[in-house]
Amino acid sequence: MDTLDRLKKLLSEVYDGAIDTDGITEETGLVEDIGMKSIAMLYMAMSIEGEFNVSLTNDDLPKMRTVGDIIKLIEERSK
Amino acid sequence: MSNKKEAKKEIKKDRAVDIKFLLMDLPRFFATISFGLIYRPKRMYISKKRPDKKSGALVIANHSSFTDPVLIGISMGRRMWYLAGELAMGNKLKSTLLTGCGCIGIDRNISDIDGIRKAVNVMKRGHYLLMFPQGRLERDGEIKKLKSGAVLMAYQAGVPILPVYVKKGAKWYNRAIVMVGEEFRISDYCDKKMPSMADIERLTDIAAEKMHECEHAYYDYIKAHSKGRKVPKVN
Repeated sequence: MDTLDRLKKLLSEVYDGAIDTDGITEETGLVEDIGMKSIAMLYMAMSIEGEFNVSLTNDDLPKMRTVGDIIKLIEERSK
Repeated sequence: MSNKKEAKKEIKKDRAVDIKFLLMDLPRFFATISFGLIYRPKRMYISKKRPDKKSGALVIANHSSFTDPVLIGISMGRRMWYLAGELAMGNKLKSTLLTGCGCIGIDRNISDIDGIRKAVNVMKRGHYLLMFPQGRLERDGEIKKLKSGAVLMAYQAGVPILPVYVKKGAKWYNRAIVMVGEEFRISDYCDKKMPSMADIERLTDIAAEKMHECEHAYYDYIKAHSKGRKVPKVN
């Protein structure tokens, strides 16, 4: 399973299937398209840390605007 | 198994009297004497089920006075950490002192993952962390909508949530009451491995209900002991 699929699975769990994960691409905006609020963003960031075994900081969160940004961040951190 | 034993050993070590906790224990000692004399806080439980002494917990309480953190801190009989807004932490000197006293600053303007991580780690180490999930001071003591960050932190730390209702006496000679509710775990109400955002919202409402139970127990107690004095209404 690649990073995008794992992220889709994570998003599906966070939103309990309330969002259509099939339509999610790297260009999907977290706030604009998914409607993610700050608390959901925090939850997502913590879940990413657990799932991908990476560490995120306060500076990383504003950079996470699209799904592609998250993938980039994960790949950077897991090197 | 050995990891569990090591973790337990670590918790025991962390709870012992230690020079590194001097900044926490010394103010707590003086606060116990001074606040103990002025407010004479009385800790009460709403049920026979007592909180697990070995486990850490997230203590959630109403916030109607600046004395609340101290009253709860000295009443629980354990070293306590506090979650404070970045604004309350003030300048560098105040921030250093408050951090030494066990305050963890959270910047509410951003998604402060660093602050949350510190708080989660404290609870994982088997300590109590006090937070006011309403997010601000409510002078009337009314419990309004809670922020869902509390449930999120308890889930991340894997600790129970302990609801508390605190109120100073109406008159200077009345004792302050710290009404401790029944602790509950996320797993008591959600059997999923990873709760969804909807579950977290639902659990936040349950936490508010538990705080209301403590509030009602407080007013029942006051009513029973008021001897004809006028008792304020519960909303």
